[in-house]
Amino acid sequence: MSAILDNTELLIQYNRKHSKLSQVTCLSDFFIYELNLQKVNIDKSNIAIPEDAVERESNAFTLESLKDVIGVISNNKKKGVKKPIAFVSKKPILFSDNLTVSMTEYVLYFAYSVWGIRAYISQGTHDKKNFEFFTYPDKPFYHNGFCLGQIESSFLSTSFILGWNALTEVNSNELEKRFFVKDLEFIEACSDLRYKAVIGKGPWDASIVISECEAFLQKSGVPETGINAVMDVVGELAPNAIEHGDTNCLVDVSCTEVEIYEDEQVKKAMNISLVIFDFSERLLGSALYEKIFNNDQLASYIHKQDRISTIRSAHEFHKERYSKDYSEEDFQNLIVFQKITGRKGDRADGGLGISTLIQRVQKYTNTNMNYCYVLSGNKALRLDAKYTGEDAEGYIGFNKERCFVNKIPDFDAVMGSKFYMPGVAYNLCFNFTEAG
Amino acid sequence: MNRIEVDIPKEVTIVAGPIPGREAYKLCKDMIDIDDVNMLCFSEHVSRIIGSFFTGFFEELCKDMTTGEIKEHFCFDENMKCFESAKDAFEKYTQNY
Repeated sequence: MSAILDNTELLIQYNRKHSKLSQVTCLSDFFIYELNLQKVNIDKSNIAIPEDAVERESNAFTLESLKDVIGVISNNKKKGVKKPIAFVSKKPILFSDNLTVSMTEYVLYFAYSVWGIRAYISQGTHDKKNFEFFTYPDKPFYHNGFCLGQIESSFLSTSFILGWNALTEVNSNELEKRFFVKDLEFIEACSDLRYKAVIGKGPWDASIVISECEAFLQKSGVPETGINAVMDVVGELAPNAIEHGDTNCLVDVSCTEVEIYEDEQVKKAMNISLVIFDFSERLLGSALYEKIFNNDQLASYIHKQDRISTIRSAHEFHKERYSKDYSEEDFQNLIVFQKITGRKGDRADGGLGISTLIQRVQKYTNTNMNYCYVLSGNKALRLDAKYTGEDAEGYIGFNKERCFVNKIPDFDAVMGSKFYMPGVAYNLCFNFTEAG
Repeated sequence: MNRIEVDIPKEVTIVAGPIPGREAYKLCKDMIDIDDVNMLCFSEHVSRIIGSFFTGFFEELCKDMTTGEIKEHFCFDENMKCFESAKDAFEKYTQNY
């Protein structure tokens, strides 16, 4: 199975400029770059962990940090320099969410397998002559958006990001095994934690991966309700990505058992993280927007004409209120969630697929540990339950008032990123308690 | 009643998305008799049908048939393992188109 995603060049092209990183030192066998990480506060309010497990204020590696990394690697590629690169931080690194982990793994995999440049990300200390890497003396707790665990026992210990990936050269077969976290002899039971696959464009490819994914969740002890919900979501989003983006896509699922506070009690829950992304020139809302606003002939094909006029009048209201935080691009993302079903095999994103996604996030993302969003271009929409409540007619306003037409989304429901996502990326996180 | 065995590859236990729907339609379209009731049967290794499978399956037929006519002329074998999920996905399809 090849892991190279179609249109990866778009990802590189859009993100290679303006890297803020500068080389701090050049050892005989490594370039060292110090990461420019962002300070973030971790909300531990409903996670049952020891108070001192992770510092409240930590340094986060985000998709914007990844943009810096892409800039450095692609610059070295341009210059024809193949010496390995270590991106380091003196403090423990926290990954902001699983999409960031997954996307970073992919970039490092691509750089090695296509450009022959090995790179990794690690905590470490350095001076002008030496670099001490991969030092985790106290097995610190690491948090990656939803999953908190000791670095050596959590799924991050199997991650392609960390140092072991770049220490020695490997052949392409071994590289793929490491990227997909499959058949790795030196990490026991790692296959129970994570399932990654690239779904190709063949008619049955998505169904085969989804079938494998179900088997993985069953083996990992996920309750039946969880398996059904996750399968429904993957079953909609993955085929959508392939059909709409006309490209292949990556699916990355991982499970972690966690303890959460619910009704003042500590309960065991299974957290399932689901990351899906594809690279394409087509953004989430662009095709639907084109039909509704720029082509009356196409708009007339859309089944629900009353919804088109509602969206057009909402647009009149929203565009008067555009600002630096809320723009036309956000509105384009928003319309995808307004239950407009294109007819006759039209992209299902606007219809059934998104409805299924929303029903599931409404049901299974009710704690602070769920950080769900969809990212397309430079814009993201939060999908957590509190933002995605529908009004009586099924419109979603992404605000507390549940109002789409006469109210713009809450300021924290729309997000912007300097990282540009060509295509569509989902970062979803569900939790399932024993009661279901 | 016109019984149609829908051919699904052995390694697929969950059938998902419109693309397999289109593919499955291609494989069995010659067996469909739109004047009769067609009973679709999926083999035992298929445990669930999810997502927009029927959007793809009925893409061609819905050019000439209304959703009501499709509902009248298609049904599922109640004994098959994926009966419940097939029924749900079919209902979701007919409600939305």
